Amino acid sequence: MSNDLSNQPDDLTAPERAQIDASTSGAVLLFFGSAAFWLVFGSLLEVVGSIQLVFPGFLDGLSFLTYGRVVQAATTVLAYGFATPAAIGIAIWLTARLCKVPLRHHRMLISAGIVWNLGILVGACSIIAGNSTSFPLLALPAFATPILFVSYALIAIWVLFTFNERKSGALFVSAWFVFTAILAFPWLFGTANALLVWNPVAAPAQTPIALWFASGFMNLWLVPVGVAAAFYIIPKSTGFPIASNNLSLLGFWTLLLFGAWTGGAQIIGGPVPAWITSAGVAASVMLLVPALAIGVNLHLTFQGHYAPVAWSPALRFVVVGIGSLVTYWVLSAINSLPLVNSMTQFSDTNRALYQLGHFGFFAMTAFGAIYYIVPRLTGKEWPCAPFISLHFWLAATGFGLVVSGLLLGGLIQGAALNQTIVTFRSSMEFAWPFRFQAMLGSVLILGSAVSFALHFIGILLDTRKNQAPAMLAEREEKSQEPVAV
Amino acid sequence: MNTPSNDPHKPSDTPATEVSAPVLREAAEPTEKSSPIPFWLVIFAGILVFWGGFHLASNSGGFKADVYNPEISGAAAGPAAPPDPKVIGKRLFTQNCAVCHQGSGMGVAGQFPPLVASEWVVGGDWVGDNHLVKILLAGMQGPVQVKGQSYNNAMPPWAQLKDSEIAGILTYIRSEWGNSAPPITEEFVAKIRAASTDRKEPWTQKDLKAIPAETISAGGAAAPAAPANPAPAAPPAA
Repeated sequence: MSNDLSNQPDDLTAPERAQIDASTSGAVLLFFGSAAFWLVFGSLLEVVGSIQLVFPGFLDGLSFLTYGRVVQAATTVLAYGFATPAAIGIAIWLTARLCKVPLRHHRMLISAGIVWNLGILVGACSIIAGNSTSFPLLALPAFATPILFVSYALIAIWVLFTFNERKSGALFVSAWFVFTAILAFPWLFGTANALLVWNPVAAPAQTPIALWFASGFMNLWLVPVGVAAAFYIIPKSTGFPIASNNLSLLGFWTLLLFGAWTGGAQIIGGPVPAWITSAGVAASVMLLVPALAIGVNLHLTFQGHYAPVAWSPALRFVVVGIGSLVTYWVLSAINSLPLVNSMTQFSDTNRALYQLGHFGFFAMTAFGAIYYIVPRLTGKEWPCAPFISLHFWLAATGFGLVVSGLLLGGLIQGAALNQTIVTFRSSMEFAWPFRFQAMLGSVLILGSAVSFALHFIGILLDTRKNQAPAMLAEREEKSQEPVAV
Repeated sequence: MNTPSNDPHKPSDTPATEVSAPVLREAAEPTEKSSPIPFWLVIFAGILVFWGGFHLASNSGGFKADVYNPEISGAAAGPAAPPDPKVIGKRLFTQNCAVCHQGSGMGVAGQFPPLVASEWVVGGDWVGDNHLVKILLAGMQGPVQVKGQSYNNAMPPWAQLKDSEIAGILTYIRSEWGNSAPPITEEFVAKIRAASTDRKEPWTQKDLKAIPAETISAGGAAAPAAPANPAPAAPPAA
């Protein structure tokens, strides 16, 4: 029953790994570093936005810091300044590792990374200046997106070339996910920008397209990269093989099949043909299959040895991330059922789910991957383990406050909105304490982002050698558990 | 297969790059086992596929591009419900009739007769619903008595309007402003139109009086099907 699939013979030696990592280090560190910078900036904007939601008079009179601009800028910066570069960095590193060949022309990737960040800078300033679109996740003005496209093309071409030059042997499951994501992103981003920003289609068709993009950006871009990182880092850290190739196949294909269809469930009863919303509901529910396939597969991979989660930074973040992903898909399926959706549709619940997916799953998984990858690239250990611990607890508490607050507040707000005898103003007042809680959570998330960015600068500047690896807890000398860092 | 890592100058025992501690302590590259998918997951996925297909089939309005809410006009309900004739009638009345008879239906004293409580509209001692339809089809001229007042003017024919439109206008004026006569059906208009195709010049009161009265309830061709309980054209729930 437990026969290993035979890609054992062409395993990498440590010097080969070191050579592959040396080829990717410049580009990947640039993407991770810029991701850390934009994470701080985006979290700051998010804090401003959530304060304004609770205290509308906050920063009154500053036109460039009004709620509409700040929230659009925060969403855009976190999605394209933090999440996407982090995903690109993970994808580059995983591709070279899994294809077992060094990355060629890495200077091209560094140039592309600089161009990407210039595009984000121009786009973010332009959104703050009031020049954004009305679509969440597509707020970048029409002149900023081509910059990102040129940059992305330069990146994706060399990732695909690396795939093409891979050593023979069965492709590991992470490689499928990365390859899918690399191809899906330009398809999603290009189609949505062409139809909504550059040459807008008729108004009734715009909402379904925007929702198709939003669900695809999550389920076909961020999710595959994050899952690929988990499928690599968990067996790598624990030393156990992935439990089931069949479960991996099931999770992969069902995700591809249903991932981009879920957006329709957000406009039930809206001005679109009925099949768009019913397909969205069916797809949201069907995503329970990849949720269980991926979750069960990774759980079985641990073989019960969860102890390293206590001390391994990478494992701890990745486990929380995958747990959030499964929770996100389960709650999204429940939320899409018309009976539930009739209450939650226009409430804060949807913001809670967005944060659960984008921060709870992707950002946490990406942090885990970065904690795993960066020591391999720099040849140095993380200088200060308590900083990682601080980062984890600030992020986990902050995100817990945000999601639980918006989820509960959203349910109460939605129930109030459905009561004809409750005024709209009252429904807002019911949600106020929960939004206050979410505001506190966003402040903690900002703190976690700052501690992460400082630590990232720390490992780059650190000159000490031969340190012990950074562990979050003591590991007993004679422990049977894997080292896992 | 000819990849850079196969270069002869880089055999693995003399590393080109210094190998750092994090890379040295790594486990082997990950592999996969081929355990079967748990049976309960197969069953659960099957249930979800069944539910998803059922939901899709029963909530998609036949996958038509113009069905937005299957509960209001789904594929099972057949074609869309007919529009409310009074809504059509009000629009056509405002466009064509209100110039003379006024939006209030009161007409203009001495020039254009009123429609409110007029025996010509709701029926009188000798005036029937067939007379009303005939006036619309061919027009009217000459002296006429309405609610005891004399008028002498000309009303143009409206034969260019469809049967359903004439029925709509008449249903509207018979149920508005306090009038409460039964609706005029499209079939009734068609029947009167077929019976009076030879009349080209406008009617006079004398000519009309020679025709026996018919009322919609007695002589109507069809039962008052659609207008009796007009389906509300409710917008889809927000």
